[in-house]
Amino acid sequence: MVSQTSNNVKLGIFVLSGLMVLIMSMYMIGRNQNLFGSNFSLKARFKAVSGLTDGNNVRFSGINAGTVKGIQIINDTCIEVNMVLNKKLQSFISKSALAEIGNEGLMGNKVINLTPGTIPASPVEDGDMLQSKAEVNTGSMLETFSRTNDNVEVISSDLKFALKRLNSSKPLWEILEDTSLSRDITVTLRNFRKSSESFTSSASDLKDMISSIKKGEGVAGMLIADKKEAENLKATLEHLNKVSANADKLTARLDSLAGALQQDMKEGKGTIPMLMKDPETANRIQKSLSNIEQGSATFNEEMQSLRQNRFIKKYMKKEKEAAGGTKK
Amino acid sequence: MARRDRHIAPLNEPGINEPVITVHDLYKAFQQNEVLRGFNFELQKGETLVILGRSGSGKSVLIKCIIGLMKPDKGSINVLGNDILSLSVQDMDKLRMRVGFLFQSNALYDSMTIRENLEFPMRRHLSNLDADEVNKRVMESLEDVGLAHTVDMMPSELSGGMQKRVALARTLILKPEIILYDEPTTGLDPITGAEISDLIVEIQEKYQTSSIVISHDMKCVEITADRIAVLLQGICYAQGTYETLVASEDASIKQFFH
Amino acid sequence: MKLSKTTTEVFNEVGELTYFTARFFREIFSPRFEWREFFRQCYVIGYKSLPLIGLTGFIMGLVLTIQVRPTLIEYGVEARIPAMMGLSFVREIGPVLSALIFAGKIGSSMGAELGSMRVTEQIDSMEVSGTNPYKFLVVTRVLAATIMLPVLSSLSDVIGIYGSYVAFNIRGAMTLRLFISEVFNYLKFSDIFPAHIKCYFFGFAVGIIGCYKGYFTRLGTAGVGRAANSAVVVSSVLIFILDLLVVQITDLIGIG
Repeated sequence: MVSQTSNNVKLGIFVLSGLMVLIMSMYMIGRNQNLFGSNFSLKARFKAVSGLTDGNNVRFSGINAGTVKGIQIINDTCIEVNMVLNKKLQSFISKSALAEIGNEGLMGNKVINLTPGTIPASPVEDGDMLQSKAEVNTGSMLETFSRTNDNVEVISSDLKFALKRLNSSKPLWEILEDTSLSRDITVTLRNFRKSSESFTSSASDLKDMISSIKKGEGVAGMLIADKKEAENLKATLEHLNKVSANADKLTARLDSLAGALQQDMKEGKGTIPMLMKDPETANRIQKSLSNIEQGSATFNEEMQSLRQNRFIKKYMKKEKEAAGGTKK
Repeated sequence: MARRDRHIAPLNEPGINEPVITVHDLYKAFQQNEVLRGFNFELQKGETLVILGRSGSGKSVLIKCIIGLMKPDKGSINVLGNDILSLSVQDMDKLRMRVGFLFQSNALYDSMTIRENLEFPMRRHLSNLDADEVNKRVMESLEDVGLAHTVDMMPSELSGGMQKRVALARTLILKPEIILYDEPTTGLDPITGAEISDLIVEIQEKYQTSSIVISHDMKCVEITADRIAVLLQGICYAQGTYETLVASEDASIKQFFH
Repeated sequence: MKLSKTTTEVFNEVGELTYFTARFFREIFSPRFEWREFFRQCYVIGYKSLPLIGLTGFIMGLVLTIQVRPTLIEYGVEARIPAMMGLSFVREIGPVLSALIFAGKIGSSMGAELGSMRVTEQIDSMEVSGTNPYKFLVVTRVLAATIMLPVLSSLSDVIGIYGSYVAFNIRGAMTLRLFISEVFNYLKFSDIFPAHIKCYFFGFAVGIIGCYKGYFTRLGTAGVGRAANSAVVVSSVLIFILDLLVVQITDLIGIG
C-alpha cells in the first residue's frame, strides 16, 4: 500500500507538471498577445496600412507595448486601426504621440511604432485617437532608390560623353603627347621658383616699409598726418561716442526693466511671470536675452578693436599734441 | 444478449437428486468443425461428474458454454434453475458467484500478488465485506489448499502445482455451489497431479459442492469421479461409474483405459 | 464480387475495431468505473514513459538545432533558431515524436500484456469473477493513454526546446531567458491548441489499437508476439494518418 501511495504521488507530480507547462505556455502567449492582464485601447487612422494585420506588435519608443486588434476601412483613403496596449504604459503615452507603420527589419513583420509627441500633452485615455504619421515604407524607400539610380544613370552617361569627347579631343592629346611641353614646364617651374625667391625678398622689403610706417616716418606717415583725412576720422569718432552714450542709456533701461521683472517674479504677478511659465515664451525670452548679451559683447569687441586701431591712436596722439601746442 | 422471457429462478437450494446443471441438445461449431452435436447430460447435487474426452473433442467448449464464456449455436443450458442463454449480464454475474471455474492455465493475474488475486473475485461479488473479513476469507481459502505462507508472493514465484492450488483457492473464496475444473492435472507431473486430484475430493467433501471435472488423465478420473460421461464425436457417447466403464467392451471407450 | 482473403481480413479487422471502439464509448459511460486500475495505468503508462520520451525529445532538439544551424547562419537568421525550434516542437515534433515512442513502448506492452492475459485465460477468469474485463483492462488503459500522451507531449516539448537551447549554446551564446522569450514571441494559441488536441487522438489511437490487438489475440503464445508487433505497426501508421487529417482540418478551418 505504501508503494501505491508513492506511485500516486509521482503520478500527481507528473500530471501537474504537464498541466503547468500547458498553462504557463498559454499564459506566456497570452501575455504576448495581451489577452490577460489589464490593458486599454487606442486608435489611429492611416491612409494605407501596407499589410498590417491583426496581432502585429505595437511598440512605444521601441518597447513592445501591445498588439493590433482589428482593422476597419472607414473609406477609401482612411483605415482605422485598433490597438490594445499594456495598461502600465498608459501614463507614459501622451495625447500628442504619433503612430507610424514600420517594419521589423527589412523583411520582417509590420509594426506600429508610437513615438512621443514633441508638444507636451496629458496622457492618453482609453479609446483615444492618435495622430498618424505617413509611413516610411520599403516601397517608397525603393522608389527613392530607383530615382537615385536614374540620376546616377544620367550622370554616368554624361560622364561617358565627356570622357569620350576628352578622348577624341585632338588638341588635348597634342598637348599631352608634346615632349617639348615638359621642358617648357620645367623652365616655367624654374622661373616660378625664381619669382618666388624674389617675392620673399620683396616681402621682407615690405616688412621694413611697414615698420617704418609704424614709426610714422616717410610718405605713409605723412599721409596719415593729412588734415582732410584727420577730419573724417574725427567725425567718425564723435559718432562713435554718441553711439556709446546711447548704449549706456539702453543698458540702464534694461537694468531697470530687469529689476522690475525680478520684482514681478518675486511677487508672481503681471504678464511676464505668466509668460515665463509658458515654457516656449520663456525659451524665446531666454533666446532674446542671449541675443542681447551677444549684441553687447559684439559691441564691446568693436569698441576694443577701435581703441587698438593704430590710426585712431595716432589721431588721438596728434590731437593731444595739437592741444598741447595751442596751449604753448 | 437477447432478452427473451427473462426467467430467474429463486436462489433456494435444489433438493437432493435434483439436477443442478442440465445440458440439453447442445450444438457448437467453429466454422466447418462441429465440436458439439447434440450433447446431453445432467449434474446431480453433490456429485462429481468427470467428462472424459480426447483433446479437441470439445470438453472445454462445453464447460465454457456452461459458465457463459461461449455461446452454443443451439440447445439449452440450465444452471441452478436459470436458463443461462437468456440471462442478462447482471444476472449472469450473480449466477457466476455460485459457480466456480478452475482454468486449465490457472489464469492467475501475474501483475498482482496472491492476496490481490484472491481478493479480485470479491471486489465485485462481495464488495460489502470489510477489510478484516476479506483478509480472513483469503487466509481461510489459502489454508484449504495449504499455501497460507505464499500470500504476499507473486504468481510467477510459485511452481505449477502451487499455482494450481492458488487458482483453486481463488475459486473457493466465493464458496461456490458448483465448481467446474478444466483439465486440473494437465501440465503437472503425476505426483502433483495426484495431489491436486486428492485436493479436489477433499474440497468436495468439505464444502459439499457439485463438480464437473474435465480430464483425460485417467489417474485423476479414477480419484475424483463419482460418475463419468464420455464425450465422443460431439455427443455423450457413454455414461457410468469408473468401474462400469473400465469393464466396457466398446473399443472407443477401451482406448481411454488401455 | 469476390474479394481476396487478405482484403476480407482487412475489412473484417476494421469492422471489428469499429465495434471495439464503439464498445469503449458505451462502457466508459456505464457505471462502476475502475478508478484504482485507471490510476495504476496512468502511473505505468504516463509516468514510466517520461524518461524515454524526455530523452528522445532532448536528443531531437539537440540534433535538429545542430543540423539546422549552418543553413540558418548562411541566411543570417541564426537568431531565429529559438522561434523555429519552438514552433516545430510545439506543432509537430513534440506530439508526433512522443506519440511514436509511446506507440512503441505502450502499444506493444498493451498488445503483449492483454495478449498473454487472453491466451492464459486471465481475461476469461475476470469475466467469471464477475469483473467486466473490457472495463477493467481496456477502458482504463485506453483512457489512461488518451490522457497521458498530451501530458507527455507537453513535457517533451519543454525538454526538446531545452535541448535546442543547449545545442545553441555549444557554438553560440544566448541566455535561457532570451531563448524562451524568443520561443514564445513566435508562438500563438493556434499553434498550441490543434497540437494539444491531436495528442488526445494519438493517445486514444495507440491505446485502442494496442488493446484491440491484445484483447483478440488468438493462436497461443505466437499470437502474443504478433499482437504486440501489429499493435505498434498499426498505431504508428494511424498516428501519421491522424496527423495528416488534423493538419488538413486545421488548415481548412483556418487555424494554424
